[in-house]
Amino acid sequence: MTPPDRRRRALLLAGLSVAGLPLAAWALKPVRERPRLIIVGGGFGGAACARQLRYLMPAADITLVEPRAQFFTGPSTNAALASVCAEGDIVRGPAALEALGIRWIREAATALDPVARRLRLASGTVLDADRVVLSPGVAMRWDRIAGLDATTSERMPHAWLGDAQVSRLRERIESLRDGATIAISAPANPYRCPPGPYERASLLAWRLSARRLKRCKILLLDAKDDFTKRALFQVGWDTLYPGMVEWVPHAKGGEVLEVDARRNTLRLQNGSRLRVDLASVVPPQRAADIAVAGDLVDESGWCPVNPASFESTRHAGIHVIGDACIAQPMPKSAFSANSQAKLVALAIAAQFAGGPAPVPRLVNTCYSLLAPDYGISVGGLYGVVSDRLSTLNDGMSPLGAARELRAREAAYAHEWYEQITRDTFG
Amino acid sequence: MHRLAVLALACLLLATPTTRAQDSLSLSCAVCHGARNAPSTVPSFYGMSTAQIESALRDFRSGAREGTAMPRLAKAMSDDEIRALAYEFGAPVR
Repeated sequence: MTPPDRRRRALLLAGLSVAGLPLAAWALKPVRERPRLIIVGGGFGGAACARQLRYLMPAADITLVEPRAQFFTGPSTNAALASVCAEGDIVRGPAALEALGIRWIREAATALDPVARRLRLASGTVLDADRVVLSPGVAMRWDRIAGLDATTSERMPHAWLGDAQVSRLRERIESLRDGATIAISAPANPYRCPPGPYERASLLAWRLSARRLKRCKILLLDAKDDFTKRALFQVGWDTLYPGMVEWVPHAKGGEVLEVDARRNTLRLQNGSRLRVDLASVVPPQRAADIAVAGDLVDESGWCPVNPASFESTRHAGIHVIGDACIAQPMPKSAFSANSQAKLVALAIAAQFAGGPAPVPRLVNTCYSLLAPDYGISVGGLYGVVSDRLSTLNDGMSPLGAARELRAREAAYAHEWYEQITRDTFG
Repeated sequence: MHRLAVLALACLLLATPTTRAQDSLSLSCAVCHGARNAPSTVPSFYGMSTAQIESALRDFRSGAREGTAMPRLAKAMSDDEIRALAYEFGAPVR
């Protein structure tokens, strides 16, 4: 809102209060008739938010800032890596949003003045907004593992950001020979897609088994001593791929401290130096650069938000959703981002309409595949209790289940992917 | 007189337990269950009556009905939330 608007509103409010008219609705309602809403990031959070805002606020001026026309989605990346599906099956993008009347700017946001709510784009273009929704995703922390940076990572692909590393890692996997040793590293919490490294090990084992490369060994090098759905994964590995997947937890020195990408070696916390045929090193993470540039991250590297509206606790009028925000106990998942996006859209629409704030109810379900016909899941319902985002109930697949249930959950996983991508991208 | 009619209508609207106004809970359903008329391997609630949906959610909540993702979610739902979801997605009575 510009200063003259604010003055006009103050005068209006003063006049009305003299007349003794009810003010509550007016006090909440900005004067601007056509609110300018900018969404930064066109992934599962940003695209879902733009779409929901369009439905709820038909008159608003909605702009989506996303430089990528297409990307590989995080969900199902592991399936594509293991040739469970084709790479083309997991390509999505924000193009269909334009048909809804959302302006899509194909540029990166480079700077954000969080007080003026002014966004600067790579071309130098400046955009002003009444509300900004940031769904920028994660950035890798290149200062944590010695020898690993954006360049050397190309030889030890994380394939975690939907870019060309996905294709590169898939090619490397397809060129493996029998007897190969593969290392997959998992970072400390929090990071995007908590079950991702473990699903990757599982589907890689499936792919190598399908190619009859039974003497291959997959090492999961972990900076943690526990991970989501651990018992379910371990039972699955024992059942499906006995002896093929070995998890090295933090307590056994599994954390990767240093890599030599040229020699394919990794130095672990336990002092051992491993030479492998293929390493996929998933680095520690933080909120993406634009969140840092906008002064929205705290010392943790992530963005603190009010859980009822996902509005930044550092700057009013800026909402942060998806992997970049602090939403524990919700995991950093596509479903979480989509659910948060809808709550934020409802909250923003309510603010501009002068209506009551929505009751926050957030949902997540994460499916993981251990084989194309073997799925497991975890999920929960979340709400705000005593001003904190809290788990109202959650649960996961039963440990001792029949294969029929695993097959059913694998089918649900596939269906979930089709539905959430349609719900988000169209 | 006119003012009284408006007031009566307002009272009637307020007295209706649920409205079709979308909320953050109901908007998450489509993530797995898809849109109306979309083919689905995930059990669909489209075409079910309000009473059928309400009863299914109550059974998921009590444990009387088994499921995968739904019992986890339903166990945290209040009576009001179950009724609102049933009203939101239940097929109109013919």
